[in-house]
Amino acid sequence: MNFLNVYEEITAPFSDRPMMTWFEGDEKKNCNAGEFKRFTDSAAAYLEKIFADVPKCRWIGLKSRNHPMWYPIFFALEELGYPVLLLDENIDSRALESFCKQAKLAGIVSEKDENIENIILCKISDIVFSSCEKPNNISWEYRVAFCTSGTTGKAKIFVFHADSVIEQSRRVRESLIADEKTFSESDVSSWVVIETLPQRHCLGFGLSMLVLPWGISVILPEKEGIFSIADTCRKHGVTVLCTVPAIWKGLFRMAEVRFGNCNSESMHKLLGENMCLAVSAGARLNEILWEKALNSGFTFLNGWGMTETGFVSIGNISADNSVSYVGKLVGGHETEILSPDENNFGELAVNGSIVYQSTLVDGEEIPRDKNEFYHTGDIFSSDNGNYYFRGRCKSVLIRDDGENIYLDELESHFSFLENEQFCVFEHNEQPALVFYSQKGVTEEIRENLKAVNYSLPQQKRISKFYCSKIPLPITSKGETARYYMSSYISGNSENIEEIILYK
Amino acid sequence: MKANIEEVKQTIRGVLLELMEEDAVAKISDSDFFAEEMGIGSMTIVQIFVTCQEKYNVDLSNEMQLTEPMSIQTLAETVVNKTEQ
Repeated sequence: MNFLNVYEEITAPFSDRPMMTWFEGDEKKNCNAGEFKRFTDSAAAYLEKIFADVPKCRWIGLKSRNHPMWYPIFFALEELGYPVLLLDENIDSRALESFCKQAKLAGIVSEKDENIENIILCKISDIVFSSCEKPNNISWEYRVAFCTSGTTGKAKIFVFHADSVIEQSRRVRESLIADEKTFSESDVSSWVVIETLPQRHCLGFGLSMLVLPWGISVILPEKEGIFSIADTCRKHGVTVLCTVPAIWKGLFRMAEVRFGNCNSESMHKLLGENMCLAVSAGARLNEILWEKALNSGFTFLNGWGMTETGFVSIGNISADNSVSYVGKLVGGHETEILSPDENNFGELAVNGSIVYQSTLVDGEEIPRDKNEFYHTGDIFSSDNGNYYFRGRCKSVLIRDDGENIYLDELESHFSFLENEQFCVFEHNEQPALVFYSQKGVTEEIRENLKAVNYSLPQQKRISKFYCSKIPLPITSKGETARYYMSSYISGNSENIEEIILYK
Repeated sequence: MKANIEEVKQTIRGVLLELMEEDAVAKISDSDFFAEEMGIGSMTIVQIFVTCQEKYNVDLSNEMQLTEPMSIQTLAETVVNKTEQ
């Protein structure tokens, strides 16, 4: 199986109706399957010339924000026999160089001018989508790769095969039809899903690969920003919104400001009468958002998965009176709760055909040992087929916009503090840094903290800095006690100074 | 036409009020940095920039990268300066 099979699955329902809709200025545009195929072939004919000297099977990066031609470009590369590495458009040059090395990239298709030695660049604005040309040498590829935490240097690359993409899509669909009346009793072919998640992200990509074969068409927001998400939903009859908690938080607030509350009537006024299915993804709903979601009047789903594992569970939040509930397994995975405690809480480990197939490291593709369970680093419990998220045992902070922040990786940027005891930790859902220094906060430290923080992508910058007059607590292994630090800071204000960097 | 700085500030506060609790917005001074001091998320910041771009017909795509800290005051000044050009 290769990406031709995926391509056929996603285009099949749309021979005579819009598959994708987007906006150019005030003009609404759409394409059916035939037009989508013409865009793909035209792009492939152009890219074939650009990458004429690149052997088949070499990885090509696709680095772009959401774009109406993103999927035609992706399939064009796959059609030409190039596996595609999906890159975050915002990664810095250091991270990009790291990805180029890890995947031994031969080329990049990007919106921007990228200047990387020995890498062929194709700018998206140069690609011709409107010709009637077709590529001469078609040789469909079967691999796609996603990156984790693409905005810092030590990100990892996980490879999935086309059969896994198709299996995941089918299993989630079957699971939803089996468990949710909304799906079994509706004609979903009239539904429209709005694409708010990045197409290059496993979730955004996975969502399109899930809904298109089902006959649900995709619309891109008219403009950037959360206001336009609401406007597009309302004005264009969107039925499904799958997005991160940060956007749900903003939408509930908009309804409260505009209509006095965020109940069902207000949410339908905001997002339109057709809106019926809401999905929260990418991060956990907190209790406040969970309550609002329950009262929103939508069938509200959430679930759990990772780049490495794909979708693992999905469920309707009203099916269980617990904010921890993340649904039932979608199938395609075996799971184990490792070393459960007295509450039966333990780390979730998963295995199966939907888990990633290989990783890319230093230009080599390393297959995953199919006998080994993947340790997720997240704590779960399960009861009668229902899964509950209970916390993390890994040093990752997942923000409500879905951004994963690897705390130890973030810490490595502040290596100028290596002579001090220091750590980066989660504090009020934001990354914070504390260090112990007998000298206190010198001007040199202050300037270094500022300089390093501004070298980081905006989403990953440290929000609070602290200096401790006394040594920081350590674990039994002799490491600074990262997980305990937030409560330690709150309870030791007499010994800990917050550093105001910006005034 | 050159934008009025106070009006731009009101526009920015208007966006904040649509997306954040009133009490939280009331605590934000004109000089507080959005991300670094107020912990305002990227979704809200993007919407502030998009609204200013549309309302004052200026291009803020470079500033949206947030390579420098940005506050209500500094963003309003940037918008005013761009409307002068």
